[in-house]
Amino acid sequence: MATAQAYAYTRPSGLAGDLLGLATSGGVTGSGPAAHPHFFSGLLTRPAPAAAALLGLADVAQARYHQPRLTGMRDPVVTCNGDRLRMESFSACCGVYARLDVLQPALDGEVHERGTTNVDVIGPLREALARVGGTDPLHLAVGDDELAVTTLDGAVVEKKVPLPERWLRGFAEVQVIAAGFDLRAELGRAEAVRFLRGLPQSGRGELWAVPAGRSLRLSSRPVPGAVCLAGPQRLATAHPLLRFARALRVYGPPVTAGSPPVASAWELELPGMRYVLTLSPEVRRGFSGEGAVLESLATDEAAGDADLLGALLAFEPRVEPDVLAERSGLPLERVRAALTQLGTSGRVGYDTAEAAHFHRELPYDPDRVAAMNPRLRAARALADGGAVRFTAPGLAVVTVDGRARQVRLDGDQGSCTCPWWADHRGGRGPCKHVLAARMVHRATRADEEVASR
Amino acid sequence: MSVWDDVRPVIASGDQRRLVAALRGLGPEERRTVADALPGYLRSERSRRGWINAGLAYTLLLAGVATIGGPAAAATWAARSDLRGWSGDSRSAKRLAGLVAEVLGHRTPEWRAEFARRVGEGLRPNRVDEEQSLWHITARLTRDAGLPPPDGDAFVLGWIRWAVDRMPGPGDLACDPYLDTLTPRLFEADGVGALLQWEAGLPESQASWGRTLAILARDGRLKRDLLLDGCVRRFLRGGRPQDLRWFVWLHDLLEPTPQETAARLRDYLRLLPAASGPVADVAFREVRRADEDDPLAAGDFTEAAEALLFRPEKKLVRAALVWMGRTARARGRVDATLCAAATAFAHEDLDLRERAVKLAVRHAAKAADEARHQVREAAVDLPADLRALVAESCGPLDAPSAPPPPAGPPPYSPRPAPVPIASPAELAEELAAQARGTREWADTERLLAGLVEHAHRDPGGTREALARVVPDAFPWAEHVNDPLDTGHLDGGLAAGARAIVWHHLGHARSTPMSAFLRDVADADRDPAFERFRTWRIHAAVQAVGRAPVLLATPTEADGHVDPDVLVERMALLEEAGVKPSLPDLNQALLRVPRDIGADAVRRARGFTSPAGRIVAGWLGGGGLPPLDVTCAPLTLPRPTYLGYPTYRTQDVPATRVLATVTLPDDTPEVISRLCRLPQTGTWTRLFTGWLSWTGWWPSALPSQREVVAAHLLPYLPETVDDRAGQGATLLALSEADGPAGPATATALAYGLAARHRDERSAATDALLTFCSRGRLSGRELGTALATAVTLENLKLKRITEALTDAARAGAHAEIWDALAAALPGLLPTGDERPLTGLPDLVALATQCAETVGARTTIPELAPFASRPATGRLVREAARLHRTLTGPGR
Repeated sequence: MATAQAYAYTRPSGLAGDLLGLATSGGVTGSGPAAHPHFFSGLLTRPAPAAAALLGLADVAQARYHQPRLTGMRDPVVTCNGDRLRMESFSACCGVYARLDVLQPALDGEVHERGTTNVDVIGPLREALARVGGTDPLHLAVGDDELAVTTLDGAVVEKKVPLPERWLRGFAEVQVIAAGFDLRAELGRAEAVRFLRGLPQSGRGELWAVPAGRSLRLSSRPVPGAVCLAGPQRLATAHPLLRFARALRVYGPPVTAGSPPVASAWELELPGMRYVLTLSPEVRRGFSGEGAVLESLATDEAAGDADLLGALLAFEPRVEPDVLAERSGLPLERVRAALTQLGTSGRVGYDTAEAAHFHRELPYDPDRVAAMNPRLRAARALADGGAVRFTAPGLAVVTVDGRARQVRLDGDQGSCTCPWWADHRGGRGPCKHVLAARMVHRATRADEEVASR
Repeated sequence: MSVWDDVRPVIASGDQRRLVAALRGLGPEERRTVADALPGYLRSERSRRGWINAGLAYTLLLAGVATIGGPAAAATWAARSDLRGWSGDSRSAKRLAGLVAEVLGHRTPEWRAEFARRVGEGLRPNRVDEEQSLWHITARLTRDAGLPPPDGDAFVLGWIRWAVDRMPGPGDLACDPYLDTLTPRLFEADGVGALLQWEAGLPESQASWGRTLAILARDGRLKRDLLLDGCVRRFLRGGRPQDLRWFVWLHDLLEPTPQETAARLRDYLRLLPAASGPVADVAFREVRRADEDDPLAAGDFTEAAEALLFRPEKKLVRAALVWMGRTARARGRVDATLCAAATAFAHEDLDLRERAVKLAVRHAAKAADEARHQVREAAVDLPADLRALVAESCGPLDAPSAPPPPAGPPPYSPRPAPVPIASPAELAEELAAQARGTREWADTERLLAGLVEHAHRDPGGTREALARVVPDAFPWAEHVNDPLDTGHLDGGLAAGARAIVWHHLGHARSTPMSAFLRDVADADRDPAFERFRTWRIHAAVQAVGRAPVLLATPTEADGHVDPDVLVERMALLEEAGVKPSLPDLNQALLRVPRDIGADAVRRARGFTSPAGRIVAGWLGGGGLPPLDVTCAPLTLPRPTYLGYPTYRTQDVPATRVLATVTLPDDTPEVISRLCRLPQTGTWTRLFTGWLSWTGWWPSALPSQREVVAAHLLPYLPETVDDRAGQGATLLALSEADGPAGPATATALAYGLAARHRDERSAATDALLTFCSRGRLSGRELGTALATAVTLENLKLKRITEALTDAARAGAHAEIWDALAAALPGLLPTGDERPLTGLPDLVALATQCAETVGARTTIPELAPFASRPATGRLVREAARLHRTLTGPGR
């Protein structure tokens, strides 16, 4: 289902003299919703890498990597977490997530407010950003107040871009997937340049980057410690940044020999900032269908806890689970599950470099972001409709349209005989039959506990 | 009679003129009647005809536009996708636009403007010819109303596509009503560059947008600044090379004057680091021209030089070094040139590295101490000959930093052993999954073993579990006479499952048992390994429900069967009084590792059945000894397709490396048939057969790697340009056991030259596995590489890439050994033309030799060292010679 997102800016973003003015549209701030929030005014002390990275974000927002063609662009999202600015964009193919974290050393100015909104990156601004060079500091204003004096003309900018549900869900869920990543390799400048420039220009299949010596090498198969690299062309937006790069850090989930392709994060360290690209497991596969979070969403408890925690967040640059546990009175495990839930509704992001969540509210209709995953919806219908019948401990038959599917539950593992399972073997999370069986299993266990008490 | 009854036949006739006449006199009420009837009529016509042809589409469109009351609804009607005249014919589209203007004559100007605006906004940049009529309608109405044209990207693209019927000449465009308003938009709208990218290749005599714009600018009809700024701004916005090619071409056609270039110097400078290649070329050229006219400011020069030296394109780096060298003294910037050149001392390309060093050295005498100091700092880790050059001109260098310890190839970790299927439920799941397609032979073997074992151990439970999935997985299997007749693997699985679930249908009856023992003429498409597998599948399926276990199911990932497990399985068979099938027994024997425990041998001695006694004898005798494999290039007839004019195939002699495998006389018949090569005793011709997915072959003979490689040799050269899974085959070969000799090395050489990156990278993985297990000598690989490259015209560029990857992963020493052995066979002698890509291979050899500190001499290199350095090969070969014979680090 695709409804349109309307962006409304009071004026276009632009670069006038040495002032880079980014116009904002509707968003959420620490003090509530705002039509054109004003976050920051001050100096960008490293303008050239910041400008180049912003261009990278705009390129990602416009890209459809699996099937390149012109596409409407969904504006980057900016979050002011107090000591840093984070700008995020998500590709139109739902397979690449890019984030630029401008950290304290690169910022010198005043934070007016914390919060999240969209910023407008348009053609003339792209030109202006490409002209930024050298080391002279650049003034940056995110929000409205100063823009009035600086921007090219006073025209109101309004645009409408389709916003499919899967795009929204992918944008939110990529954070939850990234939360399962660990650092796999760190390359110095020279090795980073050599590795990224040596990548093949295109490719549909997935490759695996394996730490070797001080660098990475591409391999055709996974081994423990390897990072999946599907579609190396999707790292292209990092290439113009290589001249500023200080290091490349690579993150991914644990893999073993024979693992299916997985997601990965590629973080370029720039002076005073970080540029991160998170890639989906395959070029033609978006993040929305990954189902990494379904198991933890299947409980009702998490939803309640998430509401509780959501109220405690205040655009922190780092969300500390133990602090939240203390303030909310919830055990640490439930805080983590609730953070996953908040991630799927777009209310927290995950920073692999800090290995911590950060608070942000995606500036889109919150109800749509939080709308239930279709697979979860189907599973709940099966469970409620009595389609699940346990024939032995850990062995259930789920009947859908007269067809019997056999589900095996073994601890955390679940497997099924449906074609979808056969095709992915758990690589995209549990199927609806496994989810339904687990729901029924959990409910009967809870009933038994009550009865035995 | 209502008005609809009058209008409908006119619409149906497709006659637009008559329709306009019929609509002319209608009053508001009558128009509404027609408008209301149209959607239903369109629906019924579509379902009756199946589609709406162009004639009917146009009359329907006209009728709707003329009668629908509101401009928004009328625009929606006009934009319906089923009313597109998709013929792409500009005359009919223009005529339609004229008629639309005519039937809208009675509307207010505001109505018409609103209608035109909405149609214009609905245009999509991606749609091509089908929207031509809509574009003409928009254009016509806005022009009639004296309004500016819509400036959306789609309208601009439409202007290029459809405004003029053919490529516009200057005359056509000069009086085009949109020239002034839309020309600036050419540089902003997305998709213009991609649409016009082919113009750059047109002959000069042919009219084109680019040339026409340039002529109009020359004649003063268009402002030059508008076009030049447009191009430069477009460059700054970035994009893919194909999106920018046309703008680069237009920029060249405009031939900017020195003043114009100077005015845009800042923009050209900022394009140098990150713009796409062709744009960077243009920017560099302009910067150079500006510099000629008026020397660059110090900061600008440093910015330009450093940006250019960091470019990935070697050509651009080389050109930049030349430019820096030529201008250093003339422009009085020797110090800045030295400092910039020092940034390229760490360049990966040895040639560029040397050029940068020589540039610095050449100007060092005129440089200040500070600049010389920087050069010395950057030169510390250079190889000895370059260090000496720098030291001579800039003063003594610090001692080189200690070389990092060589990493060595990554450690080898064997894949985990397969786990047998544990329950009927798991069996059902696995069967359902494999029925979906993609599977590996190892998985299928595991499944077949599971079918046999569970059908024997728990017939009721297995039938119940499988009954849930088999009707879905193999719906066809209940209705065929014999699933094995299909000849596919699916048929085998279906036959096995059917024997359990629908056992009233009985076992599959096909018995191709003797096929393997017959001589098969067409070895091209039906090699022994594949025939043997078919036989095994059939035998396994017929064992379902009869035998308790299959003997040959691997217990290790590489295909080996643990001798202890084999003895246990044989004991089970004896206990059940069942004879193992011939292929199962022989495959089990072939999978016995070289290392057999005494306990297994002792226990096997107790077997009483004939098969049991064969197993006991085999284990006692230590299994199959390494077979004798010889490898040599043979010149034989090879069927070659002649093409035009005969389209015939004819035998042409060709040379290929082929292997011969001979076995001891007492080898069992089945094993001898499988292993011996060539099957007929002598090679008589070369195959052209294309064989894919041979990844399981090594697991059939896990202790006879060289024999498997020998069997692959006739087919592998044919797969070099395809994705045939040869990489996976080589990987399995590297993980198998047994001696590796020339056949294995030659097989690997074909894999390293694979065209597709994924196959090649799997071959590189195989090479690294060989290196880390120490199973293949680099020398052997090098010799095989040289022979295969010469005989099969393998692309050296691919091999260099693969070997570079392997070297970077830590196998420097092994790659050096291989290259030292390969180069004598690859370097040209006398007047021979050198192989394409040879310089890069030599450069890789130099890099490896530098890393491992190799000091061997290669006599074939010596002649190059004394020749004048005319070409890249001579330079690279001389450099390698210097590295090997010079003073060392």
